Amino acid sequence: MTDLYRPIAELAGMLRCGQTSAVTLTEQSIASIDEQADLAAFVHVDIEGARAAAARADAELTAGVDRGSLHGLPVAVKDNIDVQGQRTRAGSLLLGDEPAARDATVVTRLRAAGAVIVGRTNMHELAWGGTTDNPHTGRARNPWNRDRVPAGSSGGSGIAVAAGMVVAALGTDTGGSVRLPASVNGVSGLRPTIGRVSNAGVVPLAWTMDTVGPLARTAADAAVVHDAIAGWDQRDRTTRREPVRLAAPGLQSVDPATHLRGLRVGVIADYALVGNQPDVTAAVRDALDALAAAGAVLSEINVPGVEELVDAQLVVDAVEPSAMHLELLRTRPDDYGDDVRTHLEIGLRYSGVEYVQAQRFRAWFRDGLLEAMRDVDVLVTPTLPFTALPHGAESVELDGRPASLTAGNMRYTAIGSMAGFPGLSVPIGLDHDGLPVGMLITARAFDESAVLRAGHGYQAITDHHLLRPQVPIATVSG
Amino acid sequence: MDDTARQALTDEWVARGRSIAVFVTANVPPEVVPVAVFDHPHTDRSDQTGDTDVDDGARS
Repeated sequence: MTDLYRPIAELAGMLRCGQTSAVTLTEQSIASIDEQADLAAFVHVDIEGARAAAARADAELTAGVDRGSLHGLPVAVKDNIDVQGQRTRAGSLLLGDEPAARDATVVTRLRAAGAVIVGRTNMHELAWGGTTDNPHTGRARNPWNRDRVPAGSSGGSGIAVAAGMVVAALGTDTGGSVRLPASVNGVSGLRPTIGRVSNAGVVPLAWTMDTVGPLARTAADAAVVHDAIAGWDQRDRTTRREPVRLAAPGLQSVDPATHLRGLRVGVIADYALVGNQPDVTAAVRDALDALAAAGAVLSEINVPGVEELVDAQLVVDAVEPSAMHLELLRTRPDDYGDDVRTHLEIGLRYSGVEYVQAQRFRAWFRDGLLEAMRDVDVLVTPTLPFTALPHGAESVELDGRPASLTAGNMRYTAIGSMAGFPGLSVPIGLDHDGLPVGMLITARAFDESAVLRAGHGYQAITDHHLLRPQVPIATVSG
Repeated sequence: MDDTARQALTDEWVARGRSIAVFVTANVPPEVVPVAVFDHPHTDRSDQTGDTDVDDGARS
């Protein structure tokens, strides 16, 4: 049986009292990845490197060297994040001919915290899409139903956590690429504020929206990873200089339910509670009821421009990748997958005026959102209007009408992506097909603690985060 | 993605770009400057939850 579904805090305790070892946990991780290879969660498993790191972690603990909560625990990173000596392909044929000369800053920080990097996760090609149906690295499958997508672009990271292959995984989130796979795979995923976590050593998608964030079983586990990777980095001038206030200790220090008493929750009722699959709306209503019953104070708010948000995000989200890929798009167009090439070609069609107006919209929208949130601590929406879609779906039916996948995918995650605010997706139940539903908690810039407290409090009064897809039993014992 | 789907996607996205440009022109005051990476304004929460465990968003 695998131990990798256990909370990080519990595993940390087991490691320190000799109930398990980093080597045992790493072998469980490697076995689990192998037994569930059909999910295509990983594009590379560093068996030798992971075993060596695990042995070092055990030796350090024996010698009294304790690197903290992630010490000796197996984690994964998305294929667009540099790991020294490995090729950073970003799910593409166009990058990563040479091994990375050094670790990305987030990998350096994970290693410093004692984590064992077991491998690289599958992703939507170049992070420019939401299915992780990658023509070069394989179709990733949702562990809750293999006929469904794991979302993306960090689909492999969502699968790896949901299927118990690792305790946490890094993803990247530009327009929703951590929060969306968190939602459809039934795990917790944090997009940090732009500037909170370094992007150094990460393949860019859209420079003004890119972030790196963790996917983990729980909000508390995501907080541990956040604390390990956050903070100023001289390699990334967009990061903030001020010290990061650690989120995880504040979650552990009090009864989790106290995080909900008096929590002021804003709801854009005429946006967030309409136009979804009925099961999604029902699950979010139930979650809001649970929050209120635990002492949270709900209030309806109105956010100017929210209906236009997806239009603006599409422009920014399309133009910047097209600028990034301008030369390769001209010289090697056939090396892109069909959908990504189409996305990049559309980005070339927008005018400079449209791009500037979209960036002005962001500033205006962000200020309006701040004003709307003046009397609330967090904003709650669904993460997605729908649950995991079948592979190959190109549209979705919402409220009995066909709707654009584009608009649906970005509908709620665009709020944080465009404002630059942090957001946490947490599982809030299953739909009638047994597929996970996610709730997105968004807070003001640099207030990761608020979304993590709210998510942790919610997970203290519910057990949706404990649900697991049916997976094979790992054969390595401690 | 077949040609029909590709054309539909292109048409939708291009139309959304045109639409947001028109919306901004009509609704956003001229003094609003484009977002840079990333210019969070000072967010004074002293009158809100009393929570001091929050950064103000200022950049050095």
